[in-house]
Amino acid sequence: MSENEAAPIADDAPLADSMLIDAEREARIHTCLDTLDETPREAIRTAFFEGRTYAELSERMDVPLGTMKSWIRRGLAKLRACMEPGE
Amino acid sequence: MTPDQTLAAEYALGLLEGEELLAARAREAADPAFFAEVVRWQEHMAPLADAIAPRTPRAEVWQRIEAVLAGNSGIAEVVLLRRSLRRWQWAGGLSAAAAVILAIVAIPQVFGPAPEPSGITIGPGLTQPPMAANMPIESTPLRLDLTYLPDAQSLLVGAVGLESDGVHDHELWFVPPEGRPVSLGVVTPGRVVTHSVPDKVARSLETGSRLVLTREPLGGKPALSNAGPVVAETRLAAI
Repeated sequence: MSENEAAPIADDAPLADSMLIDAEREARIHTCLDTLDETPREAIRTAFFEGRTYAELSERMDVPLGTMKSWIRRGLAKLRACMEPGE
Repeated sequence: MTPDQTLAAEYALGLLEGEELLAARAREAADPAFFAEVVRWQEHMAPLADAIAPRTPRAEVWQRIEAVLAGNSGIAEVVLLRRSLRRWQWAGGLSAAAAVILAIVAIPQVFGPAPEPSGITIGPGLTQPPMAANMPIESTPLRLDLTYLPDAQSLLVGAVGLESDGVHDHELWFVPPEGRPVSLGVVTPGRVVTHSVPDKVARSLETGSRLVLTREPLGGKPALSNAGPVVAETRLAAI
């Protein structure tokens, strides 16, 4: 390397394409949640944000445990199909 | 979705409790495909956590903390801790509430005279942080889940998936840096069991303490024999 040449400096900023992928991924979970009906969507969001279990959710929303499970399971299946189309 | 995929999603989201939770946890440890599915769901959901703005925990959070600290059973503490821990692990943006639960359980003295909601007193609960360890068992996909609650001098030994061969039992030992190993009891296959820990062991247990598992005749090591072969070992870590 000649004296006049600048030493290479690593650019540690995230690569543009990985930022795009993150942004896409982030947008996708929000978009996919929005495709769900309101009840399963709220139940899934509450489970995630507040750490509620099936039993706690069913008590809080005052529905039988089995009903809560089938709402959420249907929601999760739809969410998965939306997050991973083609599977 | 297959039933497995559904279970993985429910587990990743923290919907399960009791038997189902224990079963899913054992699957996660033993089944790479199941584990991958759980990770995939965590990655799908993680960006949601980025959207949470820091905020003051709801009053209800204090009540739950208080209920835990007043502590009726060790199991409740561990379940809540694990749940908090899982939330802690969700990507970077963790909620203020989870942080507070962890902080209070781990270092309650910091909160000393901090403002408490009226009518709520912090119980005599935890003063020392729990410790935990996984103990994978040699040449099997199985492991023991160990959680030590110093204040209760209780070691929760989860041996889900382990089956008795009808000829042997497994015995758990604390191996002090000096001196002879001390038995912490015989493991109950397929169950989560609370073992009480002798005083002198309780005083010595700390992060890095070595625990080993030996294979013994049914009922544990006979008084006059040497301990059987060591089949697993681990060290405790603070959680």
